[in-house]
Amino acid sequence: MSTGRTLDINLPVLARVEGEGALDLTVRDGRVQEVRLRIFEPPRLFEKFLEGRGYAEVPDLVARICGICPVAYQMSAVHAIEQVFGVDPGPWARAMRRLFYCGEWIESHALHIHLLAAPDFLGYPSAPAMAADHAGAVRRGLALQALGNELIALLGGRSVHPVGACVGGFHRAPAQEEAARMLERLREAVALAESLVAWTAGLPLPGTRQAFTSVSLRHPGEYPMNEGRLVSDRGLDIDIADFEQRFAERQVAHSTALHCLLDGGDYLVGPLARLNLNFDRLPPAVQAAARATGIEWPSANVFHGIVARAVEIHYAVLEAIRLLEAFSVPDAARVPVVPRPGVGFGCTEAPRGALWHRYELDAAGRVVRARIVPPTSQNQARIEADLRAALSAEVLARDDDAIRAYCETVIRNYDPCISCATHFLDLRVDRSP
Amino acid sequence: MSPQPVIRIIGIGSPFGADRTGWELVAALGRALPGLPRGVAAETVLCRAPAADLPGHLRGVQAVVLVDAVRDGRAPGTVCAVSGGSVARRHPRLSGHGIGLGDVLDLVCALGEGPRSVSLLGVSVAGEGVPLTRAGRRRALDAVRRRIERIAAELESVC
Repeated sequence: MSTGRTLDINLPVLARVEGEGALDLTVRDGRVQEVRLRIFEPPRLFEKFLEGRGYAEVPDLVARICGICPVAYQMSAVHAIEQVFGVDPGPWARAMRRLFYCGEWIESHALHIHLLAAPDFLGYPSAPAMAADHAGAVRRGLALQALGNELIALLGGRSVHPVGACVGGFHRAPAQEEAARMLERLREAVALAESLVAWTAGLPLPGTRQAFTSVSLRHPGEYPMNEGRLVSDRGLDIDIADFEQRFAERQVAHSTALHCLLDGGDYLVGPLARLNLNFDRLPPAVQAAARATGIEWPSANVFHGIVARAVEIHYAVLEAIRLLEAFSVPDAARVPVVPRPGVGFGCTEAPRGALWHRYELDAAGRVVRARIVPPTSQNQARIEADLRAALSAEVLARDDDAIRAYCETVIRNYDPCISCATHFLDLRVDRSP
Repeated sequence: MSPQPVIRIIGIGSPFGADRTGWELVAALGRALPGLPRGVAAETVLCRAPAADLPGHLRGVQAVVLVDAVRDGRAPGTVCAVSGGSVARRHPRLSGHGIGLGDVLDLVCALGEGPRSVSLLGVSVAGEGVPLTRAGRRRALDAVRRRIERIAAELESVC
């Protein structure tokens, strides 16, 4: 149905840390003519900063790219550098890196679900406003976020911009007593995490369905975090070293952030994509809780992303328990490394999706060239496509504030960098014919 | 056994430049707490990441005093006190990367878990890379002490 409406909506400030952006929406004769997610993110030049730096500095430098997912940046970097050096950090470091990642998924997902996304679906302007009526939910969010932060600090020394990870393993192993205390805390959180899955599924989520391509890592035996091949639900199945053969970043005139496309098309990365592609890798208890929501997985409703985040929190809590039950203090928390020149690749599953790194190092292990493709740039084209599909005639018939709110909800659904930016939207409407 | 703390004095900052100011002042207070009325105990805490750590620090005490560096154009070492609801609601919309003091206080207050009294003592600094001089630090420390003594006296009257 066409409303015959002509509308220009300009959301000029999507301001926040990793990007300052905006949304331009042009509607002609009741149809969306143009959607432009303008990210005018000032170039952060991290890849250039890294050039000339020694390999040992890289994990701490890249951790500064994001305050929410520093572990992901550290993990993609250390895996890539270890590939160059031909280093196997061994089973202890491998397990602890997975544990480290569990902490990041728990804190990042808990933050997004409770403080950023849930107010949208429950009709509140902010989490504090929501807290008055849903105090228990907000308390649960803060408790899970704190739990994730504690887990990061256990291995990283601190929860924000942790410093514990290094090429070859970790600078320090936790003491047995520290690990035991953490294990106890995690066990206490199992019921909380499980209840969160049902709670998110009970939110009044839009029932839209869209055709989109899900992309994530896939591991032969695990739900993916640090390792695997890049796969999609449209037949992609490649080694991470072949990323550049199928994925290409391109500059668009309205954004300083690159749009990454798969074979020229948009695609989704993040919790929903991971779950869609790896449901069978979840343990039975997590699968059962996810199925009990009544949602059919894989899901074509992008708003099920919030449920997927809850499922991943449930999984991360159980996985962290499994890893800590097997914990013992090693003789050494890292293996020695000897620099050598070469090119290495790392791709891990950041909370908001696949994070791909490529490093070229010289004989001393100094960075010659670096390339980092974050999930945010991979999801940008998908967000625009989502907005085009989501702005139906029914939505466009609403008033401007309602349209703006819906656009914000759609964008925020994709999580952190852009989603947090949308909290600062300022709306100007041009109603000229 | 030491008495249950009634006032928690929280230094906010980082190891860098003038941002250390809150930590340094609170560490100094921790070495020599102000004279407190009977029944009013205090403890000091250093906080680096308000979004992650502050909610926990706001629970379990009757009063919280936050000490943080501010750049407001006043003479370095000047202490500006902000109390009650005006500490929160400076940034009413939360964002994942930008959760600040106001956001955390707002959220904790909304949950009804905040302390009865919250005071922010902003210590003026000249700029990010300019630590306080010795005289500025002494002036700031005296002002912070006086403020805490006043808060303690108010608490004593209602305890």
